[in-house]
This record gives sequence, structure tokens and C-alpha cells, in this order.
Amino acid sequence: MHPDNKYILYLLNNDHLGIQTIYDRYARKVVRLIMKNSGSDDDAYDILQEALVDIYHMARDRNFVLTTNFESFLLLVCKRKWLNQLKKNKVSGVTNAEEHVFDSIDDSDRVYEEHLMQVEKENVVMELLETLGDRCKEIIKTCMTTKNQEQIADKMGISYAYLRKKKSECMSKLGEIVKSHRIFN
Amino acid sequence: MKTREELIQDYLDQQLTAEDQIQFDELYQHDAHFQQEVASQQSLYAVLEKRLNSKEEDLRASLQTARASLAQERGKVVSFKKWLIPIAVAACLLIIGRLVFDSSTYYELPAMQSEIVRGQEDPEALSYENAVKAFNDDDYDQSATILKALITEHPDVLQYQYYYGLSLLGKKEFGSATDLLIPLAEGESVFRDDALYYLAIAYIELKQAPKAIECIQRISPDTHGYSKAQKLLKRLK
Repeated sequence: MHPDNKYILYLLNNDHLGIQTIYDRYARKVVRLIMKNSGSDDDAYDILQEALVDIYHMARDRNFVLTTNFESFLLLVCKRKWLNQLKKNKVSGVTNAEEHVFDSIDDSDRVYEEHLMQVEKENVVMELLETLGDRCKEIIKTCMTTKNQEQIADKMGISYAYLRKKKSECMSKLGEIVKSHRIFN
Repeated sequence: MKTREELIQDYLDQQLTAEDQIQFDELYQHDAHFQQEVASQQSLYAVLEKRLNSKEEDLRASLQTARASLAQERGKVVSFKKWLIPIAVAACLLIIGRLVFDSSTYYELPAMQSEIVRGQEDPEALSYENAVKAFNDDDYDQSATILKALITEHPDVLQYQYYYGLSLLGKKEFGSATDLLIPLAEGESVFRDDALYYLAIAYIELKQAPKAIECIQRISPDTHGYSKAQKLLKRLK
């Protein structure tokens, strides 16, 4: 196990002091990375936060293994997230200097590719879930987090049969939206 | 009869009745498209179940706290015009240092803190960064010149005064250094304890040990450099 796995555990265990250590140690590096690539200070902190959430989700997969130092991995995730953000915003202008920085962590990119792709797909699913109507979102979220669906129906003031029917419609709708997203094609 | 979508959801939720199970199996065996739908919904279901049952929100709360805490510190560093260098950073000045004089000497000057997060286009920031470079390269003549100019333009910035005082210490202009450090040592800014320490150094060099002792005794016990200051005090007594 890589010694830097402790940072992964800080995230998995929601260890407040450990998380503060991550920020103290790596935030400035992320800020430098993002600011050299058309980003602002705030962009950098947003990217850092989302990258750490991504790492948390990747690390929850039992097959995930940290094979590099944490800094390289974190910068890799931040880089990918920021490039995706730039694409979304249609912002160009990556500097040569920054490409050099990005190149230096490309080796680790391949090692983590599968996990990175998976987490990106999951993020898209969660984003698309938020585009559904309130009722659908409520039904899906509640049904996924509560075992007793009859109880859910009671609480929502609908019949169990209607809940099942509505859930299947909502899931089907979400499935269609997800399938049509470019990341799944 | 249930729809295909309902059958799939019931299957995934393990809610199929015996009758539904037969219908499901029939479709699954003979309808490739249905199989694809099941696989697709299975994947979707797995992602949703995983994500919605994670403790992401708890983690986000911790991340926000850490971010706010760091931003508070960083904000204080950036807004040094408001005398808001964080105590932790200021305290580190006593710890992070390089020998300035002979190896036989008992004190060091700290590393001057860069303000790299500030806008590079700002002439004031550029001057400051030049001073940082000069100071950390032990070129105290240069850092003193730059900082003196900055103080002329921005007399209210205590950070400039503090490092100008230290630059004068580096130049071994101890009397002038005390002129800069006394107001900081007598103030309430975050530079107070560090200024007291280096003021004591200046007094030692000026052979004014009682004043040096008085300065060290005024350093707050909760500052990071307190133990170092106490060691210096022991040597003086």
C-alpha cells in the first residue's frame, strides 16, 4: 500500500483534521495549476473540492489502489476536471507551461483511467438526475435510500402501486436521458 | 399486466411476484432489446444506489470547512494591507529561517513570505515579490531599498515595515532596525511577537541586554516561537 494512502483514508473516514491537512498541503498547488490555465482562485478551490469528492467515490470502490503519490493523483483529477470545465465553458488558452505540467502527470492518467472514467460517468448520471422533475427526483432518491417502499408511499400520500409505477417511469426516463448523453456513446 | 419498465424495476427491487417472474423470464429469454434495457437499468440502478447512499454530503461539509479555514488564512495573507497575516503564518516566521550571519551566531532571519496568489499585473505586488526574492537571497540592500519605496507609497502596510526592519537587521543596521520594529512590537498586529523577538536581537547587537530581555519577556506564551525566545532569554540571563 502506498504511504500516501493515508490521504485517501482521510477522505473515506471524513477525518476533519486529515482533510484540513490535504487543503493545507495541496490547495496552493491546485490553485497554481488552475490559475495558469485561465482559471481563477475560486475556480481552483471549486475544482479541488470536486476532485476530492471524486477521489472519495473512486476510493469507495474496493478495486481502487493508489499507485502514485497523492499529489500526482490529486493534480491529475483536478486537471481532468478543469479541462472538462474549460470544454464546457468553451474557454480556450491553455498555456505551454501548463501543458508541460499536465504532461508530467500523464503516466498516472493511464493507471487510473478506468476509475476516472467511471467516476465521470457517475457524475453525469447524478447531474442528469437533477434535471428530472421534482416528483421524479424525490421518488428515485427516496426509493434508493429507503428499503421500505410501502412506508415511502404512505409518507408521500400515494398508493404503493402508484409509487412502483411512477418509479419505473422515472427510472425509464432517466435511463433514456443517460443513454443519449455523449459520455455513454 | 405490468409494463416492461415496471417489470424491470420490480426485478431490480426484488419485488417480482411469481406471476411477474414468469413474464419477466419470458421476455428476457426471447427479447434482446429487453435484455439490454435490463442491463442498462441495472447499471443505472447501481450508480444511483452507490451515490445516493454514500456520505458525500458529510464529506462536502468537511471540505467546505477546510476550504473556509484555509481561505480565512489565505485571505489574511493576501489582505496584508489590513494587518491580517494569519497568526500561524506569522508564527512560522520564527520557525522557518535561514542563518544570516556566521554559523556561530544564535539567531536567524525568517524566510520572507511570498504573495504568489496576488495578481501579477499589480506593480505593488511585483515590487513586493522582488523584495521577497532579494530578501530570501540574502540581498538585504536590495530588499531594503524596495521595501523602503513601498513604505513611502503605502505607509500603512505593516508587512512592509516588518520586513524592512528585518532587512535592516540583515544589513546590520541595528539602530535603524529598532526604529522600524518598535512600533510593531508595541502594536497589536500579528507582527507583534515576531517584532519583539527581532527587536530583542537588535538590542543584543546594540549591547542593550536589559531592553532585549524586556522584549523577550513580552512575547506571548502561545506563539509558536515562544520556546525559541525563551532559549534566547536563558542565554541572556
